[in-house]
Amino acid sequence: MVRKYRMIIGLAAIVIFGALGIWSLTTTATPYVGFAKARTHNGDVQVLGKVEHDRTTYDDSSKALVFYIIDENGDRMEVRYTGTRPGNFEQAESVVCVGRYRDGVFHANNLLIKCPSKYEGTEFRKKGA
Amino acid sequence: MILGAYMISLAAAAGILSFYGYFRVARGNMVYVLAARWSYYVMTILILISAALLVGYLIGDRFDFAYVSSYSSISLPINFKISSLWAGQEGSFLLWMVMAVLLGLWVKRKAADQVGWVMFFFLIALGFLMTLLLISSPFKIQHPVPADGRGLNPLLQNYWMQIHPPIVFLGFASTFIPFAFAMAALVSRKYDNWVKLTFPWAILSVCTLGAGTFLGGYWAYETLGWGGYWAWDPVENAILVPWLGSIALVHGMVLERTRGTFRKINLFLAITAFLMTIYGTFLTRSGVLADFSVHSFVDLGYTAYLVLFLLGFTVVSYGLLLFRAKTIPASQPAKSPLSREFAVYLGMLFIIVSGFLVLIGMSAPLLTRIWGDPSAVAIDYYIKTNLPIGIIIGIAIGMAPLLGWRSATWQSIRVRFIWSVVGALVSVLVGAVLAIRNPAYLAFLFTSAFALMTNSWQLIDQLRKGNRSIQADLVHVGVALMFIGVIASSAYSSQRKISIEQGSEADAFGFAVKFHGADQLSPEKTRANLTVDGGSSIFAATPVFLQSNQGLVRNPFIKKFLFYDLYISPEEIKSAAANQDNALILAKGETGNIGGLKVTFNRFDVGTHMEGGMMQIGADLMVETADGKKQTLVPKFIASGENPGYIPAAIEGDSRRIYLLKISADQGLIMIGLTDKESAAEFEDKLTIVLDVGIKPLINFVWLGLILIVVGAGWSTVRRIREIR
Repeated sequence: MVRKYRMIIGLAAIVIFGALGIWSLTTTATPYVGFAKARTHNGDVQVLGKVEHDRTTYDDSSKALVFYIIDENGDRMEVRYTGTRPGNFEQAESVVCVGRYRDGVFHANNLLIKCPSKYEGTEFRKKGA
Repeated sequence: MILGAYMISLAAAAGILSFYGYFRVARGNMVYVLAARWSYYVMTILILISAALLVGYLIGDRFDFAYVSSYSSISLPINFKISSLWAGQEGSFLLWMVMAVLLGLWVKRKAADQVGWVMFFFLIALGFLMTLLLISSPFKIQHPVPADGRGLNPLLQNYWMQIHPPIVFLGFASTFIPFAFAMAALVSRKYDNWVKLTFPWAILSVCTLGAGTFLGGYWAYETLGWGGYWAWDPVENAILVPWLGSIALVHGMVLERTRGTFRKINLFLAITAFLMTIYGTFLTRSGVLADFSVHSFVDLGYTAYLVLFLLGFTVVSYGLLLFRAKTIPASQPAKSPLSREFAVYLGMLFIIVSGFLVLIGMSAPLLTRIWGDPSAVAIDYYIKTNLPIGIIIGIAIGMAPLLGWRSATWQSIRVRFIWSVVGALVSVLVGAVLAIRNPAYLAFLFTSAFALMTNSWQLIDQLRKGNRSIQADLVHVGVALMFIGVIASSAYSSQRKISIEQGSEADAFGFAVKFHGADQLSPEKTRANLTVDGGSSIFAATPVFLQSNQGLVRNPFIKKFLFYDLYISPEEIKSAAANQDNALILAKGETGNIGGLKVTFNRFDVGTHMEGGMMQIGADLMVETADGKKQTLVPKFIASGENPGYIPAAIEGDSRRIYLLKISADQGLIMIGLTDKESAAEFEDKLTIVLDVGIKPLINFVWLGLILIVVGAGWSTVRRIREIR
């Protein structure tokens, strides 16, 4: 009898949580795209670009980090980021920005830093959500 | 050939001998047991020597070794030179190997009649690490030899990072053991004793991987300044998934020990926890996730081998399990769903589900590549899927101590059940009143508080009876505490950015934060000096910026209160340039124009010593106003350590004053400023600090809970190992 309960609960767990997993996966997936697609995509995406460090500014009123990234085709995009600045941002050659494009600016809610070779293989942590 | 690399090759050879020896032992030829054992000892010694060599090279600044120059430098303190052994990929595999061979010594003695097959499979798992060490040696020599090394990442120059990696690798290595026992049981078809022999090792994995997770999270919280301890990054998940696998295995084994059930599932879990360790290594070390993880791992040519090992282990071990499935006996579970057995089953089931969903999430960049743009999942994915699981696990953990193993009646659980529900409702009420509105979090809080009540009750009850087997209760109290801490600190933490000018203060969460300035402690280290006034207590807060050629590290300042932490993370210090328009630099005898005045610097007015070692210096000035009137003025400068003082000179027939701002006696230079203000503040550089201030409620519950889990599991490991003679 209990074996039957177990089977039912086990199967139910697999079906329900399988569905929950698939639904969560599709709703939270942030595809890794180029700039062109990022500008048209509806929803969060991540883009990779080289940082133009000399143009980086800090907007006091909105407490946002404003910087520009360029892709390999020379395409340039403005990024605004209001979270805690990652510790190694200043040294980053390129960054992965997670967020969405709105009104001409990419609003990032997370930054992943790609470091120059100096610390390859070591662990860098990031800011969470 | 280089000595260290030579040692590793020899160790590999000894390992192969031992492997062959244990194979013959497993086939019943006991003559080989001594040879196999001694080859194992030789391998262990050679691995320890090679690790010691690398540590010696690190301490001795042997920059002819590429690894040493990549991760160490002359100026590094000796303790960090030692810990840079595991700063890079190659060294961390060596550390992992050290942990594994040492564990093997112990496993060998506790494997009873299964020693042949157990060590055979354990050595296969070691072969995985050995291969990686042989492919990419930590002993590579480079030319030319640099004068100094590149140094250790400042993020890793930290007490926690000295103990976190060894514990994690001990945890990873510990998953080899249940795998080896499971494979041995399958090959030899001896299923009766395997659980007893393997049980302590599965608990050891729970203890060590849990400790690794705790230390990593605590390190992130204390040093990184983003205010959290867990970010669902692949590197973290690579520890979490094998941990969950081991936890599920321990619960399955509890059931198998008491009832003989779940034998197949346990064999499956023992194999899976091991495979997850290998898979996590593949994900984080091969570079496949380079664009999705902040942990920039570079492919050192491992990828093909990692894939090969992963596929090989998966096919062989699951294949053997399937092949043997029919020979594995099963038995009847308890009769009632109202039994502890059922609660344990429920807990185990949902731990597996959670582990599987985390596995899917961390693999998303690989999976989604199949049908479209490779996508990572947002952190939301993990929260959405694990929140309902947490609620259910809270129920399972909460019910377990109420129920008898086989069955229970409402009468037998009534008192504790009702009081625990009441207690949980009170905590939900408190949570709801204080901050919590989200019903899912409230439900999670309810079941966690319920679990905390029933398990604490059980713990106290057992202690009162003088019963020493309280390890499981300790762990479950810990899990409940951790859940509550996680709910409070993640769902109800609040964060605010404030920027404060030097000398002024700003409010954050009822704390008045005053910024006094910053001290340059060393060329790299800048400390911000703050005082925080929280009404009942005033304390100094000193967050630190660590600037190095590798990046800016922001060490937060954390003030711990009983029910929350005040978390002050320094974002940046900006310097507003001083007013230069109304300032003038003059050499002795020189005349200059400032604000319509003609000023000549005649000479210094010899300093007078004042009390407290301060010194007063004046400048004798000839000032000619626009109407041609001349007057002699002597503004003074008080040199006193950090804060200079000024005695300005008022100009006759003018509302402005002249300040002597700076002097350079040896060059004969002075700097004067002209202002109608009461102070010289406008001529000083003004600092502004931007702070990220956060309140982290009940964060101490997370740490306390994890410590209880680790202590309970560690204690249990020792007890269970003693049971095996």
